[in-house]
Amino acid sequence: MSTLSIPAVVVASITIYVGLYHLLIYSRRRQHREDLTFALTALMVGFYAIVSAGLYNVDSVTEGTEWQHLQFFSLNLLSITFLWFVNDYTRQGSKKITMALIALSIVAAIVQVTVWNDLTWNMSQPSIKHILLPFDLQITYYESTPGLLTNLQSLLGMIISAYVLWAAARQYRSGQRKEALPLILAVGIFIVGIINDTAVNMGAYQFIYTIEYAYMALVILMAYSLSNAVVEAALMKEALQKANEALTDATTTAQEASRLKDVFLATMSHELRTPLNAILGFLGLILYSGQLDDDNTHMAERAVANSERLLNLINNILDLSRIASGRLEITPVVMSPRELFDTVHRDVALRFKEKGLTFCSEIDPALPDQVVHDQERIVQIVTNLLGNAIKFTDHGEVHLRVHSNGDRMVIEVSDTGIGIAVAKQDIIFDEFTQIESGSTRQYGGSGLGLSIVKRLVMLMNGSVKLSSEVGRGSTFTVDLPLSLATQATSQSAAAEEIVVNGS
Amino acid sequence: MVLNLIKDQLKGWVILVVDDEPDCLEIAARWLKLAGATVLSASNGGEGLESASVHAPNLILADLSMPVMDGWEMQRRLIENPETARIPVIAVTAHAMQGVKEQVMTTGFVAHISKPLDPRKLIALVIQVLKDTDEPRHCPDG
Repeated sequence: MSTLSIPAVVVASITIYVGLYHLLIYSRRRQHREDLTFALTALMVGFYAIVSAGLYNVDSVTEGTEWQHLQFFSLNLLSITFLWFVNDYTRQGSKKITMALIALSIVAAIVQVTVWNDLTWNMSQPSIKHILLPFDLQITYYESTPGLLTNLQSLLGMIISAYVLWAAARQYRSGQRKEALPLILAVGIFIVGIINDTAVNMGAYQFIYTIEYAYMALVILMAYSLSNAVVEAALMKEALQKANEALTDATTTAQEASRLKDVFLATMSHELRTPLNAILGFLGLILYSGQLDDDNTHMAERAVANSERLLNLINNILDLSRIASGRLEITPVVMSPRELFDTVHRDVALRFKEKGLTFCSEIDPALPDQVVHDQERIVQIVTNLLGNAIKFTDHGEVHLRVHSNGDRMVIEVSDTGIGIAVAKQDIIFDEFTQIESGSTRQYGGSGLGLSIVKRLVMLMNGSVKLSSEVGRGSTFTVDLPLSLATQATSQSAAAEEIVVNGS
Repeated sequence: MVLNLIKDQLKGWVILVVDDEPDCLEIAARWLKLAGATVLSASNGGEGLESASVHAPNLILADLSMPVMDGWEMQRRLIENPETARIPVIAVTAHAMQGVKEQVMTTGFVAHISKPLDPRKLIALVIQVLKDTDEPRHCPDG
């Protein structure tokens, strides 16, 4: 008659519950297969514990033998899911060894349910076992004396344990120490359990079989480790959400700051230009009223020249900040290139004359009458380059050449000025750079002009090149799409095309 | 000498300048006067409208952004009134406002010129616009 199966039932309840719980977890995070394989392992431990409880309740050796078969069968199923779990959990195992051990466990499971009684159990020496437990509890149960196969099962258990220990050690060495340690501990308990059970089997001493408790320890330890992973993932998600919120706040603040900067720049732009325009306007009126003598005319002219320089500098700084913040837009309009370059020529011709320089412009007659382009920006680019040419050329001539080259427009400005050393040619397009520290004083200017030219040209999908020799002069070559409307189709061609030095 | 180029070019024409900034207004008015025009001035769209209906100028030079009534609104109202609908209006736009220019041309302005005003360009533009209008007439009060 049954005496005590409570420990086995308790183990079964706990492990089945843990198994179902992890199945639930797996159903919500499918990418973690170790949750699934662990759940199956826990359910198998539960099954094994139920079978053990059944074994402890039998009333005859014959019945006990059947339960023993079933117990070893469930043990082998358990080995299969456990090996699978170790493979998923450590990610450091060997696929080949895992498959080999699973195959061995399958063979062992089949052997246990087939009729090799003689090999499995020594039926000639059936036994009735009494086990004394603390608190004066006593288990009496009926079973066969283990045979050869039982010892082989123990050997298989030891081999599997050794393999799992190896995989866990590799996991530990790979840096997943927190994950590997519970598994190592569990396998250690498991090995002690097998040694105890083998010793009890061989009659070395009288004690209960402990393997199901070892399994329970394994399930609890692994459940602890896996739930740790779940909790950590949840905590990390929470932290991420907080970081995200902080980031959103920071972005909002930055956007607001950027908007305020835009407003400030627009206001400043207006506030700086308005008085300066008034100064230039009144100076112009004074200068051209025809009431000044030569001396006063000279002074008024100097005032105009300096105000224009200041206005130019302000415009450059505002343009540069607008380009830098991506607020400068290219506005293509229908325009005539010939008309545009004629206007530029007329506007700057006087400045060349004043400095005693020869100025020639050659506009290719093959240029189309009408293109779609940003008229103002082309004027700005050409005026900037011509302004530099005037500034750095003391005698000789300046040429403006414009010609079309397929679907490109090539603008070339060459002078006979001081030139730029090869080593300095790369930095000349950087902001605030003039070739020598002393040259700002000698030639004036902020060093912003070429930087703006380069950025404008790039905005229009073009390129600017410089060839220069110290003392001989410089040639700036700007290569732009002929028409901005066809920009999209000619983009790849633009990247490969080499700017041709016009002759 | 600019003065010699523009002198008497606008003699007999009455031009209304509308701008809220006194300096801008004065500079434009002085250049137009140097060119011989009779100049009326107003410091916002409302005053501009009133002056336009009272004095019937030959041309109006209007700043676009002004308090009380801006240049856009003034232009709309000028067109609504049959007495002032035919007066050509030139829009004065701030520097680097490219998008505005196309809008200006579709709103009924005859032309636009950008600040700061270049006196030669201003006079040339005014002459060009006046070419297409009626005979010059003197302002009753001028």
